[in-house]
Formats: sequence, C-alpha cells, structure tokens
Amino acid sequence: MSTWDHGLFLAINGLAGRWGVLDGLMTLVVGEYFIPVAMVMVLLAMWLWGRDRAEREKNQAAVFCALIGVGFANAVIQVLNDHLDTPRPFELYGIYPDGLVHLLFYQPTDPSFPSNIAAVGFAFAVGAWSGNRWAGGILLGLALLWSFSRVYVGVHFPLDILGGAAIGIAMGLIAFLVVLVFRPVIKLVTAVVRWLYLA
Amino acid sequence: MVGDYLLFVFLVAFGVMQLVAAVKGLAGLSLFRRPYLGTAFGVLLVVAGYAWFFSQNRNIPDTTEGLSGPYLFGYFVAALAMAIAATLVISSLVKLRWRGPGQQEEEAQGLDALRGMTYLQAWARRWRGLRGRR
Repeated sequence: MSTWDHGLFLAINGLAGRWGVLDGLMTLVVGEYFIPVAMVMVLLAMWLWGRDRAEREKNQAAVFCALIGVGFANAVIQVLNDHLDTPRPFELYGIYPDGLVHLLFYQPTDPSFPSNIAAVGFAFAVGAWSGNRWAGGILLGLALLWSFSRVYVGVHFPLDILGGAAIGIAMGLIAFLVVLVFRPVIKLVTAVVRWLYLA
Repeated sequence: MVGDYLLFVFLVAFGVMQLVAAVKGLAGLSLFRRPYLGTAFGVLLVVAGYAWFFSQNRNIPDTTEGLSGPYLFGYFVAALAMAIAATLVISSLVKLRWRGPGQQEEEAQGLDALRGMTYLQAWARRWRGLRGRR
C-alpha cells in the first residue's frame, strides 16, 4: 500500500462530517441504486435518441458496447475478488471516533481492491462515449462522482478506484473491439428489434 | 424493498421514455399530443420516482434486506420490460383514434414509424400489408 494513497484517502474522508449537505449528497449517490439506475436511463435515452436512423444506429451500437463492457468488467472483478483479499480502509484504520475513518456507509465484506463500482461506472462511460460524446460525458461525470463518493464515505482507497477505473476503461475498449468485430451480429439483432418497432 | 425497487425503476424508465418521445418527436409513444406536456410529464415522473425512492435510507447491505447483484439485475430488467410494455400499450390506448402525420407513410420502419402512429397502429398497418399481399 502506498503512502500517497492512504494520505489522499485520509484527506478526502476527512471532509466527511464537516458539511451536512455534502455528507447527504455523498450518502445519496454512493449506493447501488442512485447512479446505476441513472446510467442505464442515459443508455435507454440513447437507444431512442437520434435525428435519423443512422444516428440512432450509432447510439444503439454504443449501448451494446456499454452493456458488453460492463459484463466484462464484472467478470474480471469477480475473478480478482476470488484471488485478492485487500482490506477496506475502516479495517486498517478503525472507525471514528475510536479510529480514523469517518464511515458513512455500511461495511462491505468483499475485497477493497479493485473497486467494482469504478469498473462498472467507467465501462458504462467508455461504451457510451464510443457512439455519443454527450452521453459519454454525462456517464463519465456520474462515474467520477460515484467513485469519489466511495472514498468520501470511507469504503475505498483512491488506488482501489484507479484500479477499478483502469479495468472499466480496458473492458470498455475491448467491448468496442468486440462490437466492431461482431458488427454483422449487432446489426442483425438491431434489425430484428427494429422490425418490432423498438429500434 | 423489492417492490419499492421495481416501482422506482418502472417510474423512472417510463418517465425517460415519455421525455425522449416528446423531445425527439416520437409522438406515437407519447401519452400527450403537445410535446411540452410530454416533456413535463417525463421530468415529473423521473424526479418523483427518485424523490420517493430516496425519501428513506437505501444504503442497506445485501446481507440483510438489501438486494444482491444478480437479484438487482433481474429486478431491474423486469421493471424496465414492464415500463416499455406499459409505454407501448398505454400510448396506443390513449391515442386509439389518433390520426398522426405518418398515417400515410408506408415506408417508415422501426422507431421512425412511431413518429406518426402508435405501436398498435404500426402493427395493424403491417397486418394489413401482409393480408394485402396474399
């Protein structure tokens, strides 16, 4: 574990408990519901969005890319979780007031490194970015907010987030290649859905 | 918790579809004839869905009452499918006798067909076309 990582964690987590509004915002967005649902809703909007068929097809290919990337990222995290056993910040430093960590979330039981949340968030963003810069930008902002909130509430070190983000970006890029290689299959699936008036 | 989550996703997905339908001119998917009403209704559903669901603490571990990953995914897909089905059926029923600008457009396919007709009207058009060919 690097010193800068733990120092940065303590600096960010040290902000917790000072401003009620910021604490409220972070505990609102940090969980498994707020941001993941918002991210998929952006993809749903992308699926329907577009001036014409060509623009919509580009968006729809990006939706496939995002979903495949998230699937890959989850698979990689599952494998790593079986082999890594890195402690959470509150396990190392204890919980305030007896320890140093201001814990504003429940205590997760899976390994701290790499962050599953960051992997999923960045895989979503890279996938959407491949077809629509605006949507990709929105999802990137949500991924950054989600990742920051995990450090703020005391359940991840910044290095966990960087590791997860790297996996998410890598899996998003691999998904982009998969969509390119399997373009005929993607087009076929989209054509069937279009026949049903849903694409 | 499961029921709350299903309703939350349903409301937000329904709202997003109403919002995009209004903004992008997919009138056959919208419950309203005026786009600004569809936009307002969509925003209201999304905001209300989020406000209601997060009016209580949802940071609950999956070792107690929280939902674990696979269940979360399954319930999400189910709620999304229900929202899509509800959008298609309700918009078709609300605009049962609607004569949109695309009623004469036989070429429009996919979502573009729903700019001028409802989902059920699109299927009725296809059925008539198939019968006409026989």
